[in-house]
Amino acid sequence: MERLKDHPVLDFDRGEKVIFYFEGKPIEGYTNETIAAALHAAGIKVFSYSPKKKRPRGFFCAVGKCSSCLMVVDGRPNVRTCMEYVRPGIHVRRQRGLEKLKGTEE
Amino acid sequence: MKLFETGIPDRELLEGLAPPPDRAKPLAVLECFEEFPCDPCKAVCPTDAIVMNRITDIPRLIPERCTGCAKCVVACPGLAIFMVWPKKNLVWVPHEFVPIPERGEIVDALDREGNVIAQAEVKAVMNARKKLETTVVCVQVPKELLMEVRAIRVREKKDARD
Amino acid sequence: MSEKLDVQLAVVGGGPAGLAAALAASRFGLEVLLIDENKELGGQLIKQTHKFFGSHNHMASVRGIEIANRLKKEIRENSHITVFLDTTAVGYYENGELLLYRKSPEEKLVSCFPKAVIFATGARENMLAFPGNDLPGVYGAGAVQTLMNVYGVLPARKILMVGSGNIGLIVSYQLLQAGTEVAAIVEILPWIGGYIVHASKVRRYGVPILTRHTIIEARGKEWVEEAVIAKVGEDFNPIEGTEKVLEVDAVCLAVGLSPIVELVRQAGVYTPYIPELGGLVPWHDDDMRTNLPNVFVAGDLAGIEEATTAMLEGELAALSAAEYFGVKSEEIQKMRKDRKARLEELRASRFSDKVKNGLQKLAAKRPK
Repeated sequence: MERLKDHPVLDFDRGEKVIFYFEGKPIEGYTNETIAAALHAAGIKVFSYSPKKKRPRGFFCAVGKCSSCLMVVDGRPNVRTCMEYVRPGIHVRRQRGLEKLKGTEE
Repeated sequence: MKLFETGIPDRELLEGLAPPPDRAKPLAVLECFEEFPCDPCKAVCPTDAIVMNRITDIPRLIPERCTGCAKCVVACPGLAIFMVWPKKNLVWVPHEFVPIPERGEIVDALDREGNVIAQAEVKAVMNARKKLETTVVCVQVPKELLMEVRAIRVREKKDARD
Repeated sequence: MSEKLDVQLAVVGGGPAGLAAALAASRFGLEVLLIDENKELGGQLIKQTHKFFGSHNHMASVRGIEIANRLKKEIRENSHITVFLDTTAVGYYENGELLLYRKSPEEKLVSCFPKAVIFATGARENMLAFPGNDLPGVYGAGAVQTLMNVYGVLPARKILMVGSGNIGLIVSYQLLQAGTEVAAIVEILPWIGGYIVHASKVRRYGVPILTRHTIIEARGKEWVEEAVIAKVGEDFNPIEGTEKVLEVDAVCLAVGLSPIVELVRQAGVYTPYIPELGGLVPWHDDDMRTNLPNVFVAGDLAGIEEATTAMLEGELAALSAAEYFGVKSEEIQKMRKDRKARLEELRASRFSDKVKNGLQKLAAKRPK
């Protein structure tokens, strides 16, 4: 999708435009946006694949309650991307099922 | 009554709301037909033309007191108040969309179901730059459509997106 | 890395209920720690672009975003209120420990033993069972609002709205304002659920409201490409042969909310199941006291309603908390009487029958 330029009621303070990485590819985002919002603005809707049936998952609640938007951010799995803000240079990738926490890999 | 299934006021509800053709001033048209707690229209009216006993009452207009100031049109949180002036074929509608039309512009005039029923010239725009207020657009329409036109759409749809 | 903190009154949740609670508590000299998971206070208020209904004396005809700004300013200027943003209350234990996970300014755990807590944790969006409901593009109504009204990102090009309660109607209108086409609003009941003025607003721009209709499937390979709707019979089951396929790239669910009760349950607050209030809900009296003497609740957590009532409940909870700390003041009784009268006034229409019914049921479940 895209970012709204003009809105009848709202003005948006997006913060600073920065580059971060999704699956290795550079994406434009703003520092006052969550990762989920920035990905959505870039047209990326699939955030993870479900543990058993590997079904695509996007976000659902956008308030950090439903776990549908969990992604791997800078190597850390289970990050709620609807609550986590864009920072310059971060690496975001789709989570595949229940990935191992850092330090618990076999 | 179909109102509660369709969201469109039944004809009999609208009867009696239209101003007489020779009225000297515009008249507020209150299309609010349901009891729920809300009273800003009554509160902003400078001439006590809107009557409610309890906050959940349906507001009632006393036409003789209405001066056509449009304060209630701006204040109504439900965007359910309009203003009509048969003498000049004018109707005032709330408009919370971009772009906001300019005076003299021709816009689509919509009925209560969103059908385009006329091309209308914008005669005035209130609160055009105040985002926290409700913008109200005054358009000129054919006389027989004064009680039909309830919204406008700006024709040259400027792309509001990136 | 964990640190300890001395707290008199903790308010968990910085939405309308929590903001009102913190401000009211500070009026009676209480020292308040206000905790919110987001980077900004205001809760759902910051997404509400419409003007509120209610009494002109109490911010009716003011947009939700502006109400949030006014409350936030008051909080900022109040020296009795400390605000922890970007902070999640992750546990509340029987020994009275409230554990906080702070993400900024530095990531750490903070432990505190507040002498009393007002929980105003709000609610979460309900799901609906249908094939394809896990596809990307099936969104809760709050999520759609967050995308378009907080971050200014268009949620979809063409969307199907499920549910014609006030949230479904308001969000449909906001979608139109953002530039998304609303293919239809489906409502399983024979009538529109929300205020008719909200329904009339979307009808004026040509959005159909289909009563006795529901979604039966969302289809698409990687995300929503189609939604299938159907008419339902008297038994609310879809009628065969009435299916219609809508080409949409998103489906928005506005099918109710459930209170976020995990923390209060951890603490041992009794949470009976009251469907009229949204499901599991902390038991509380009409002064927002729970079965624990130092735990109070307010807002959607205490039963799904709306922002105006949430603010009044927040104030009532703060009054009870002040009394718990031994504050004696005529002002408490005066405020309490006023806020209760306003609640009664706001709940006087048929729209509040369900809530009033639920509150009666809740009262009957008073624990021994």
